[in-house]
Amino acid sequence: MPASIDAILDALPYLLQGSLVTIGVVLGAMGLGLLIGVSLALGQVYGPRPLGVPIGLYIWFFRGVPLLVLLFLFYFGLFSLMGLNLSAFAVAAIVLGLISAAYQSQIFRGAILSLPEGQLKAARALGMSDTRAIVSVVLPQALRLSIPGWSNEYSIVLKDSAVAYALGVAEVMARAHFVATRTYEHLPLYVAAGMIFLILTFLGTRGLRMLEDKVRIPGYSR
Amino acid sequence: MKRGMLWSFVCAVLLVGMAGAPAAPAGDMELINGIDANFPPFSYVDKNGNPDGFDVQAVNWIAEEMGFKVTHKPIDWDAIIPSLRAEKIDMIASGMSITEKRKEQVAFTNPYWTITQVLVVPEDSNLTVEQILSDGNKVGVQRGTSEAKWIQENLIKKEGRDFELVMYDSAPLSVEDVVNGRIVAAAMDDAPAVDAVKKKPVKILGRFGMPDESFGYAVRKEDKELLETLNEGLRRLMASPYWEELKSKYEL
Amino acid sequence: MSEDVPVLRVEGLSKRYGEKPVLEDASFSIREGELKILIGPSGGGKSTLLQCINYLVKPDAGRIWLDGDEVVPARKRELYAYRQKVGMIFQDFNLFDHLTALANVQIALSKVRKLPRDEARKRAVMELERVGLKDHIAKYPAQLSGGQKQRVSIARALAMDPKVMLLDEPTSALDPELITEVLAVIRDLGLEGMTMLMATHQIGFALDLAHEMIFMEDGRIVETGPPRKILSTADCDRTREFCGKLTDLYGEAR
Repeated sequence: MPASIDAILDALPYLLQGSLVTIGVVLGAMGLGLLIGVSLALGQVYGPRPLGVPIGLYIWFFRGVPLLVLLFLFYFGLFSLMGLNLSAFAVAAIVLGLISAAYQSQIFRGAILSLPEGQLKAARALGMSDTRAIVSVVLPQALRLSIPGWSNEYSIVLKDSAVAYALGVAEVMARAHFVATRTYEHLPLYVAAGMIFLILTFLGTRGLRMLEDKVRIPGYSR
Repeated sequence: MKRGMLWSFVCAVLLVGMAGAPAAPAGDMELINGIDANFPPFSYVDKNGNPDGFDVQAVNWIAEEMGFKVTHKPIDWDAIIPSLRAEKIDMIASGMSITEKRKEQVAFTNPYWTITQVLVVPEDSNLTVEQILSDGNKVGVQRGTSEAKWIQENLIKKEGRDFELVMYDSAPLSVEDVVNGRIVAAAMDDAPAVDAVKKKPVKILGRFGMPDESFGYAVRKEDKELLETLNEGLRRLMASPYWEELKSKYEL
Repeated sequence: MSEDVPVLRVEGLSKRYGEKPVLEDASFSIREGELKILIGPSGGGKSTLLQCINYLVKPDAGRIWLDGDEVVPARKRELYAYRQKVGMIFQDFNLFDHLTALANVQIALSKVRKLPRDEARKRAVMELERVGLKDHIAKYPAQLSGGQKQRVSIARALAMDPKVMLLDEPTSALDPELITEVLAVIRDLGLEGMTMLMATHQIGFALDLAHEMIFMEDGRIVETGPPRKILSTADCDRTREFCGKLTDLYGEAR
């Protein structure tokens, strides 16, 4: 066993650098997912009825097609056809973001629908346009309500990010694999990679928990 | 105030997401060599995370000799040829066997290494090659390799032998399962097999009938100039004393 | 503005949900400083009428004039400007839960009327003082009592300098002991000359202050007249019957 611990300690700096790559991909994906997810949710709740069709197709597509297929499709196919020579890192973040958007949109949709309808009426009655009312009244509350669901989504995206190695993104799992191949210490290195993922999950969900507490509306015990 | 914070957070996140430089296009002599980082001793990453191995050092020497710059980028083996064709990388120097099928998609340099495919078995195994390739045994191999393809097409389809092929992400992973006893043998190139024998309680049983193969560097078919440069570089390298030095350094 | 132009004039306002008419051909007008009370059984169309007046519910037919100018709800900017001048008070307050009392009042001043921050804040504080909530401006809706919430919502509407206020049963969601504080605020508004149309069951309040009472049932305005006349000697049997019950429930005028 001491040899295994040595193997882990030896590889740790290299694996931790990989965790920065992982964090980059995940933050990029969550950010993009947030922007697109909110737009999709708003479109679904407030948009004209025909808009529901493309949004439904989007969600169906990105929830249905396997991650690896989407990565290849965008990296070798779509972006190349568009003449965009994006890095594997960027493509991984974008594809994970597009997928996450499909899931996040349903988190936000639920949050928006759970808000009392009267508030939107009150905002309109004050002369606010619908856009203004959504930005100033609906979103601040819906986003707060979305944090627990978001925390869940974060841990899923985090784990999915390991698939990014298929494009050559040297994140934690890929690095653990490289070192294991050289040293033949497969198990210890995968354990180490697992620990790093656990720590990243803990830090992320903890951070979101703190955010939730910080923005909690006084008087609500939720 | 709170919303301001949220938005600046989102923007920061997006910047991070969009960062990352695109791969340099071929032709300006800043080449990216795609490697399978799970193929010691030809290509792997060292303790500090830098690409290393026989092929990596050979390409470095050639680059210096022929006057171009090169970086080595680990790519999943399944995606390495698509990456070359999509111009994400400019060449593959990573123990790639020259096969007819691959020649349809890429161009190869002259061969620089002859490789033999062998079976790796537990140290204490007393099975013969014939026994291994029958009785419904499980034999491991790395996914996407020429040996995986050859075994499927010849031993299983043509000869109708009764064994099951199990696919792994890398040859070393299949060795782990040989040690675990989940498979009776693993088929792989002899070089990684030698590496495995040094590190694990396994031995090389011998060849299993697959003809020898040659390694070559792969480039896009239209990159004729690069192909010439690499061929000339290989010729000079193999004529220089450094070639023997490399072989002994990586125990080949 | 000349004396004979009403602040608000409504002509033939109608609304149906599917086959069911909920508002039929409602017409009336309110002059400056008048307080009109809408009474009638629940589901009689009072709430729909009020919400149709500022187009929160889109009427199927009917025209509306504010200060003699006809409102064209299809022109968004005009609609938003019109709504600013028509204050709306809801039964359930509809405060913005994520904002303090102060911010609830301030937000439309900043985002709709585009007042500078300091000015918006000053005005919001003033309106909250006016409804007696000086000490509660930093509290969130969940930290306020129902009566306090309704007073915040009144302050929020007043801050927009409305020409007329529409109040949709402002006290019916309140515990009895909280009703008085809200009615006191509305009474003061009335005495200051605010033009108001208010749906309520508070007969005593109506008798004291209303200039006119409108009785609605089944989506129709059944009868209009001075409160005492409606309550005691209404022409219509149905009106008398309903008012009798209300009087039993909420007490005779003082």
